[in-house]
Amino acid sequence: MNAYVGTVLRINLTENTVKCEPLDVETAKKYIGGRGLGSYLLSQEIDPEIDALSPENKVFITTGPLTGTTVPTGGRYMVITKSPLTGTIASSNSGGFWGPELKNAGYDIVVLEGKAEKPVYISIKDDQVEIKDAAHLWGMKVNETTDTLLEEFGDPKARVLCIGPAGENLSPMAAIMNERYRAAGRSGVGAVVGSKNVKAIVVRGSGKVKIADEEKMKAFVKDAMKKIRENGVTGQGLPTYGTAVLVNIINESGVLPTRNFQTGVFADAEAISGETLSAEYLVKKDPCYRCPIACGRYTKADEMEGGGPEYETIWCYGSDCGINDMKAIIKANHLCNEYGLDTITAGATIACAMELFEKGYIKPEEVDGPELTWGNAEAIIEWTKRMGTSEGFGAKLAQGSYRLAESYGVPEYSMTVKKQELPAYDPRGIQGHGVQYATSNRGGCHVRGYLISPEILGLPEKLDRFSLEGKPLWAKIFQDLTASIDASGMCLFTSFALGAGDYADLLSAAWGVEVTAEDVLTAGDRIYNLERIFNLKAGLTKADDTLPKRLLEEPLPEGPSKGWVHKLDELLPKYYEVRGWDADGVPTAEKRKELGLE
Amino acid sequence: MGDHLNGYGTSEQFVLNEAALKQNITVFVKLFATFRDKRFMTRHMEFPVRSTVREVLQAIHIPEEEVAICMVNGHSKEIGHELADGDTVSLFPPVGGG
Repeated sequence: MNAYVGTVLRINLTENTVKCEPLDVETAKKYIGGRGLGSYLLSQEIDPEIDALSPENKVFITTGPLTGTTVPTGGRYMVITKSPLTGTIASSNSGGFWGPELKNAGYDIVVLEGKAEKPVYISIKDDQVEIKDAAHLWGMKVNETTDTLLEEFGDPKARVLCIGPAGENLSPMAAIMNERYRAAGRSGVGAVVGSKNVKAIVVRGSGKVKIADEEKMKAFVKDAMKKIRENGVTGQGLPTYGTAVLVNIINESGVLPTRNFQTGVFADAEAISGETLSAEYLVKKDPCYRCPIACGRYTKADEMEGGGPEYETIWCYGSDCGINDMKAIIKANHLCNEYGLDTITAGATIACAMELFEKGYIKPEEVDGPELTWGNAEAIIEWTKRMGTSEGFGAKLAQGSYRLAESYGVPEYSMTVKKQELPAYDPRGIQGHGVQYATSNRGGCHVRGYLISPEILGLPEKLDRFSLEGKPLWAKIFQDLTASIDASGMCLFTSFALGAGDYADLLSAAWGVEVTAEDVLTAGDRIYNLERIFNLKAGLTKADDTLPKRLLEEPLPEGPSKGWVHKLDELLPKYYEVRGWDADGVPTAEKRKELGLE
Repeated sequence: MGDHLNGYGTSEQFVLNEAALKQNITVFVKLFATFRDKRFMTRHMEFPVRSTVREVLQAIHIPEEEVAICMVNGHSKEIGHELADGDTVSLFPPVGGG
């Protein structure tokens, strides 16, 4: 079988049945696996126009061919479904150990379809798969769910994936959590699982993933490990400070979104920096499966301790809400993990609410809790809880910033693309990253093509962040390579140190066939176009490839990126051209043929 | 808040008038991540006119090859970039990832 374990586990919740199907290996290789194969299967099996929270939607939890192998960071799994937040295809990625455990149990993919009559969870112990009653788990937060299930399962080495109360409440910012602190965070995938009345999937496997060429793999793994260790970012920066080290560098560049993107400079950045997190709150590192980078943090603030916070979380609860209190940010992060909320959408929605409050759209009398004023630490903690439980005004916030701002008639205050909250980089001062935001297939996202790497960090080469020259092609190549990495089962962070040729080598050894760097990029292009076609069928158009009005029209008011707006109008037509799309952003017949997507 | 607190610069006019009169320039040096170990976070430092970032690195004993990102007034610059009075120099070892 060579790197795949060969079985798709299909769980029909309406009929209460479990079925094993053989994996179509040829199709799997065409899309690599993970994000690619999941997107293909979703496109084949559902109508893109359906309601994301209806029983007709399906959830594909997929591993890649390198998941569960000896490859460094080979522990990822992805969740592919239609998103209730964006209406686009969703593919959320998570690390930890759950993905390898699923493969060790003998499954490449788990499919959830239909809707259970009552809350259930899925128990997988090799070939013993059961749909079990979850009435006693419904309403529980993530840690309690995990503890309860580990005890019931009777094996502390089992791995638990679950949703929190936010997923049960169908909040479009609900995440899927695994091993307590890891999240398939974005696009509301947790709400889709909740809509099926599924609380959790516990898995334990005794098998092992077999690959084609062990000797070759040993050599390629050694080479990849060396490159990862010797690279400054993966060998030094991320291991020492985690992702939070970015707070200062992005602030120094004047692109740290502050107070809902009103400016790009936060005067108190030092208080919420990676340096401060490491010095005052770090308990230990918390690495994923076979990861030499170990960017994961485990922190403690007063009585709350656990995984995180990441840079993104520190930003959205920090500068974006005008907060300089690291303890409050750590607590808000912890609550997101407990209630199963996507930290980016949760924090950015509070930031949007604070601006709506500041501008007088949200009236004080509507707010049945702490005042939504910039810098109010009590507000970020309390409103996170109430988003998690959909309580009072929290229920309104739990719909995300777009639906919130739209309800006041001012959707332009929502800093979203395709209704998904933008992450922690203001594209007005990073032009290539902006075109990537506008064209990301899952809406506002930084991990669909991380142009911060060349435009800010200077990797693999330094680009002028204000220049438009060549940026559409850079965006395309980064998006394609990222799609392939996500499909492979490896972590995107390896791409600071590895190139397309390295991933090709690892896949060659795993599959036992020659794979070139070009094959890897072509597969990525295929995946990207496949996702695009899904979105077009779901009703999205060129008009959705845009940025919030503020970023296109209001120049940054201060700091090193002062005076800049994002020049999307100039970049987008060129991006469509390098993609092989027509002027309306539709993949041409020729392009589809070239990629085998007819 | 803003320009002044973050050390991004002085008005152009001030730079021209003052620098013409001085032999030395004053530069605001900001260090990040491991560069802070046994050094400092931020410091105002004086250098002869026409000094570059290289002279700053020499003065604070940071080997050039350890610098991953060098910004002057928030813009990425080479080590040989000539500094002006009132400039802010931000220095980072390899960091990053989002």
